[in-house]
Amino acid sequence: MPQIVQDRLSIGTFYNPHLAAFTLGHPELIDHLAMADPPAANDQFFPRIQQQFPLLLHDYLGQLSDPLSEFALERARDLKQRYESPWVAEHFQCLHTQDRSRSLDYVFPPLYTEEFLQRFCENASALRDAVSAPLVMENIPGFFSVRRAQMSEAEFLRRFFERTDCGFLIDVPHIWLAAYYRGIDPQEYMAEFPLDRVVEIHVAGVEHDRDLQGPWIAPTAPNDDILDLACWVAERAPQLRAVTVDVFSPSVTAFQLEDSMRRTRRAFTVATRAAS
Amino acid sequence: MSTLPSASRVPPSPLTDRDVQDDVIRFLTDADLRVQASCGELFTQADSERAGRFSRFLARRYYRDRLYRGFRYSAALVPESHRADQIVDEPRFDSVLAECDLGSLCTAQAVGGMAVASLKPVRQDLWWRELLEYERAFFIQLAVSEPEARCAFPQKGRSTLVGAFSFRIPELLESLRSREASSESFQGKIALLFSRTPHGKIYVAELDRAMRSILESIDGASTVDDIAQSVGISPEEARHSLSRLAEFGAVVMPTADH
Repeated sequence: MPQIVQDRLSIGTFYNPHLAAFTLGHPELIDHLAMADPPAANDQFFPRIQQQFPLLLHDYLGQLSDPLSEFALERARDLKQRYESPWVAEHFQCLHTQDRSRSLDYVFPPLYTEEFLQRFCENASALRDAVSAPLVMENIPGFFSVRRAQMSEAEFLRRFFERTDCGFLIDVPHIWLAAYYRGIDPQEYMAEFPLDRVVEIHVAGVEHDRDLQGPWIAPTAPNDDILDLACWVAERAPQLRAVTVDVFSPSVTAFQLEDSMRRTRRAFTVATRAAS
Repeated sequence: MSTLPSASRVPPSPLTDRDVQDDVIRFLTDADLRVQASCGELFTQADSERAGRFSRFLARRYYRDRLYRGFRYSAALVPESHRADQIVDEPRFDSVLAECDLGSLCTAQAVGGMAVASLKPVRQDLWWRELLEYERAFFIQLAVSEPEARCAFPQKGRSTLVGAFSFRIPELLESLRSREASSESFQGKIALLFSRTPHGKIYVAELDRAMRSILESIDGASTVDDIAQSVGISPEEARHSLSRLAEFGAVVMPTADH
């Protein structure tokens, strides 16, 4: 099974099964694939996908605000072994209640408090030990504040990474949105973020949402603001290995994926040339 | 967005932070709660308004996704503007957003009914309404995520449905998948069981008369022996059949503490 490139930045995307034929036909655009779901049993393309691309485990393994069940840990282990993923990803999120009677079915950040920091540190370490691989954690934007919060997102993440030594999967549109809804510049927002821990960057598009009455994550191509910001992060991330175009939706088309990949590759090529 | 309060200004509470996060999740998923409960302890007024908007975003997104997946056969047969998932962008969906209990059977039934009512007049094929009823039942399995209540007696799963069709739906679907022009030749009665497991795996299975009788005799107040007697089989046979149905999530068996 191919390994993620060592001598340069790997630029890839998510595996969209309905675009498998396009994906197989464009190795010049896609270096790696992140796996959000296991392949379907009848996915005839997947054996070739697995032969051609390094795979990154980016499934929902469980919310690390709570201890993972033995079933969840075993599943994470199996997926990691199946994909031979160089690292395993999870999110700073808490989307269902403790009794599991309620779920948001969508990424949602935890309260940034001492209690949650302790919970995430313990449960992330348990997951990392279970899969015997590096764990990278992805930031999740909030759309509103809760009174109970005790610290900023930056402080929460910084202290988490200091205590666990996990890697940082920085989702740049998430940062951009968090900054937007606080009315501050995204680079200023990131001033206290531990960019030296960044292993992987996510880029994606944003579009106006009618309910939020402002921009939010959308399965569209990343715009210039997002790509410029991603390159700015990359310049400050000495451990960076991969950039992943975060589009995973049955509605995304081959044209949209190709456009996103070309734009992202062009942005990082230009940034790399400028830096050298 | 308002600034975060400092820890020293937060009044002491017997709730853990994890409990408070649960309160936020309940606020976002239950429209009744947003109307009835005071949320002053959770949010400022401005953030409460923003959280309300976020809950509408979540609900619209959730049902768009489930409608897209649940009504995929009909979607291929109608103009894009008539697809089931398009209803979430129509003004009439505002009533769902205003009363939404995200993941509940009640809201799933309302949304499924709205989709079927919207699609029914679009085609006149004999099998069209039956296809929509099949898709409605499948959509219910996708859209219901409420956990099952603990029970003292066997009971049907919350989203379990039995559909009686006058077209052989599996063959009709195969025909639609292969884009054959005529699907009128598939008339024939069939009963299908729709269910989902607690892990979210969905089953659609043909139901024979014996299994259907067992399902129909489950009323949430009858023991396995009662069910066996009602159907006219041995308790052992009833237990075996109920276990099979429980594997599909169609039946919830009593928990050990009952």
